[in-house]
Amino acid sequence: MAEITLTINDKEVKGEDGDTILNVCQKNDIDVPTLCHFDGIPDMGSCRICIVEIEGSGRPRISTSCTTPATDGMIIQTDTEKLRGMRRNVLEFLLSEGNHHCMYCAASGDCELQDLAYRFGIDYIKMPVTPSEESTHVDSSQRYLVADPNRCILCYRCVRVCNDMAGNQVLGISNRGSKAQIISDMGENRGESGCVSCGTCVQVCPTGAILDRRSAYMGRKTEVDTTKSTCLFCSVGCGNEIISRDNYLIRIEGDWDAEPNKGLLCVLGRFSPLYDECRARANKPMIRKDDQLQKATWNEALNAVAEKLKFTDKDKIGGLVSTHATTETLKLFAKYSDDMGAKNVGCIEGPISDPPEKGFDLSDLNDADLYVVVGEDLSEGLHQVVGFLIKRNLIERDKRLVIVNDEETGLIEFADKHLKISELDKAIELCKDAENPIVVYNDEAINQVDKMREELADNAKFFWMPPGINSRGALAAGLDGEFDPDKASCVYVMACEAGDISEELLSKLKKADFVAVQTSYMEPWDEVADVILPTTIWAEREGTVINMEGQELKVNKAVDPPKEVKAEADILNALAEKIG
Amino acid sequence: MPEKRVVLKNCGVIDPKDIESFISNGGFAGLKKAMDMTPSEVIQEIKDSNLRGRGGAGFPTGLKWDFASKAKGDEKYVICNADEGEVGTFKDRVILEEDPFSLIEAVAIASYAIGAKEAFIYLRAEYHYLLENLQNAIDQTKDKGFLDHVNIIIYEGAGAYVCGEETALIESIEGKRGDSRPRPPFPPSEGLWGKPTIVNNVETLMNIPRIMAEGKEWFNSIGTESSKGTKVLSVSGDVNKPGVYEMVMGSSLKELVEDLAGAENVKMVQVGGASGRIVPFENIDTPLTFETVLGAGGVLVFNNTRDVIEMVKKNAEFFEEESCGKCFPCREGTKRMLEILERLTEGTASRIDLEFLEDLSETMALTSLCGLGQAAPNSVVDTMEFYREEYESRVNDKVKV
Ligand SMILES: Cc1cc2nc3c(=O)[nH]c(=O)nc-3n(C[C@H](O)[C@H](O)[C@H](O)COP(=O)(O)O)c2cc1C
Ligand code: SF4
Ligand code: SF4
Ligand code: SF4
Repeated sequence: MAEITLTINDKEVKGEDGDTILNVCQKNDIDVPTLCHFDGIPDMGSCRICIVEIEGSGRPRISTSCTTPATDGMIIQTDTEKLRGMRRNVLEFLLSEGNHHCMYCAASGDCELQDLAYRFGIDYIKMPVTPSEESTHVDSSQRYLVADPNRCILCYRCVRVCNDMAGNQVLGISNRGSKAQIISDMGENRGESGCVSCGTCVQVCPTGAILDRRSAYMGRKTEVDTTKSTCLFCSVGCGNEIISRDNYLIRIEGDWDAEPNKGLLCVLGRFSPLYDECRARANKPMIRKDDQLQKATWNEALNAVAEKLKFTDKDKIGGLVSTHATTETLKLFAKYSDDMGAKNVGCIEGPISDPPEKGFDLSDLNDADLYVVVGEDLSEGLHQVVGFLIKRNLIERDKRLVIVNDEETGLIEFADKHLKISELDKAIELCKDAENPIVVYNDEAINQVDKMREELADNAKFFWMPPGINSRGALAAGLDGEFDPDKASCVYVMACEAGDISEELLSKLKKADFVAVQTSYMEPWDEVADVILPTTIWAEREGTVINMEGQELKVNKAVDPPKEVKAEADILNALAEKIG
Repeated sequence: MPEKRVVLKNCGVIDPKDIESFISNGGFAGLKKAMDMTPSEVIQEIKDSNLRGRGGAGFPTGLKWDFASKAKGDEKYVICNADEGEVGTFKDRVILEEDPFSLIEAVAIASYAIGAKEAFIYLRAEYHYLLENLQNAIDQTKDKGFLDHVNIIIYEGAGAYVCGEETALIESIEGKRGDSRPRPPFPPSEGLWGKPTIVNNVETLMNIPRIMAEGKEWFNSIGTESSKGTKVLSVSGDVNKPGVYEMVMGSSLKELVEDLAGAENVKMVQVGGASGRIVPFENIDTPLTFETVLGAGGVLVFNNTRDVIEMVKKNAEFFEEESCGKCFPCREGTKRMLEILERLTEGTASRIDLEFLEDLSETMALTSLCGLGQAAPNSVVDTMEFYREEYESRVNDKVKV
């Protein structure tokens, strides 16, 4: 990139070819106010707050710095009396257009419009306040968020992220001019629209026009704690920011700087952990007495487990782990199982197939021209963010999506073709014709993918969607075997948050002589456990996980666990000590 | 320097349904000549002719083509802007109705010049009745073998004024909501589907076959130093003979309005439709050129019985209705502007309102994203200059500020 030199506010500054004027200002710590701009989403130059004066022949030209390319030799002013006056006018327009009684607004204190109003000294408005006559009902039909068009400034940030970043194509604009409004689909309530609750719109809204229900009025950015971590709900390993206040979890946001997801999250990572998790927390050790789980001390509980493990034949000992656990904990579990000679050990999700030898990079999805999704759904359940990353690429005219699945999946409405598994050959042909095909698959489709791999060799990239969260961590720990409940009479389960357990497995566990469960929640383990060892949840955990790409990602503790809850590794170590 | 028929040469002369009548009147001479030249020679010819855009902005046509032809990319597009949404403008309609073949010939030349294999004619929704006529012209031209190098597609608009703005028009053809895009990038480098694209007005294109056939010297001999050729103008309002007139560039507004259209007791003339500038009667001798007043060629005449504020308010209503709403100063400015004008006509406007009207007009003109918002205050600004007393007399000093 060639270096360019500009004069901004009478100072010489450097930029690079390809920068906008705003880029150059930001690089040189020149503070240009913005409103519709958001780092990472394409600029549209609609708010006109970032205007600057560019000198030329005649009167200086006024342009938006976010959309105007910087060129060598430009002479620019960013803060003249005239610019300030026009910015003030635009802000006054906005403030008089809607309901901006900040005192009653959940965004107050974190609102970019309010900040700008202070910055430009707006303490009264010259024009009468006349909100749009269009019906502007507050849309509270969505489970997790509330949209209030009366506080919307039509910056289109939400529209741009919903369509261009998350690829969901839900949000749009109805009507023209001052009657324009953000709508979902063709004007449905958002709760009844195709909204998939990824929440990206909430995260970018500069005002109080979209609110996360749970965290509204719970604290401004300056009053809360923010912990960068990794989402522990599927193997994409999205970077997140856990927002808490006084050790209380408020909200989860996507981390714009995180590699796999670049700010995106799906409902499982953003909303479900705080809205939908309603199981009772396991918050004290318990031992089953008279067929009832009863409160015990840690010492009693650990002793009970240690006794059993010590005196059970090693062939009769079973180990079952959840991949919600960090790699460090999984390795510790594997080590202690080995020490005891226990071999009947495996993951709750079942055996893990051989992963592709090399990792892959989710950012390669942007370079593909054909996506073939085999077996996976990607629209609900796990790996939704991979679905977003594919869908957003489909906006480009020459990119295609092919689904190979006997079932209907949510991605089909975005696909060019839906093939049955028996038509795999057609998919292979399409891959051969494509320049840069990517095959996305999971373990259910392992046979089909083996065939594709054979025929396509290096002509396609293969993206594996592991069955668990930290499946690669489990593999690294050597936990690639299968747990057979029929062969175990004494079972130790490291469940963490895992709760989606098959009836079959539960009924088999019920028949075992002894079951100890190290778990965050009572359900469903209270049915089968003889001992409950309460352990942390995602926000209380510390360590690393390995995501689907093979990247090692850091998990950080945002809040302290309840008093009697112990970290996974501490429990394992304490047990090992007792067993000796 | 009165009327002269260059663009309208065939109008009323040929049978618009029959290619033979067009050919026997000199049709396709320009295209044939162009096809014997290299594309860059064609572009040079247009550059040297000094033809400038007739859609309102007056951008040099040859230069626009040159940018697109030099822009990287093997897919390029030509778009003929037949959206003609400007108030009081109906000159393109007459052309489309009476001489569709010349337009097809022009699109064929433009496509050859920049190397476009696909061209679009963006037809205003209200001109749907012309679709058949136009398609028929394309089909007949194709049958004659004149369109082997380009596929011409008619795209019907959806009835929004802003879709006449070239970037909004492009969004609309792409199947998106017709909102303007920020420029740069300009369409000749990144237009339809991100590919180099030229957008030209119907009348601009109509000049092309003439220039190719008659030569650049001939074209340069018509008009003034910096405004060459003729301009087709549609005159309406308080005139005896409303209609379409083709005038040599530099002719005076008086000639058009009084001598030809027969206007009497003129108070003011708005040239360029609702977004046009206001010429008060004392300036009626103003020549029609790019440097003075012109716009897209809609000429609205107001006689002494007309109320200035009412007329400006009508304009404001139009813009309030037509603003796409994407950029803040236009979306809110058009609404506020209308409110103040309403207060003025109702007698509830305060003195502050006038100040604010001026301030707001400047903000809109200087900061709006596209020409709609930039030009929306034109009639306010001009009438506040020429008819200040009419504004002053409407202010109600009893209104508390
Ligand atoms: C709001 C708005 C509406 C416009 N409508 C038209 C139109 O209806 N027809 C047209 O030719 N140009 C229209 N234009 C101008 C076009 O943007 C563009 O400049 C023109 O089509 C270029 O063609 P030309 O260079 O041949 O004049 C409009 C511009 C604006 C800002
Ligand atoms: S959206 Fe912002 S400006 Fe509007 S009321 Fe809320 S805090 Fe105030
Ligand atoms: S939550 Fe996601 S899908 Fe729903 S509207 Fe917002 S961005 Fe679009
Ligand atoms: S809802 Fe928020 S993000 Fe969306 S346009 Fe309105 S203010 Fe912008």
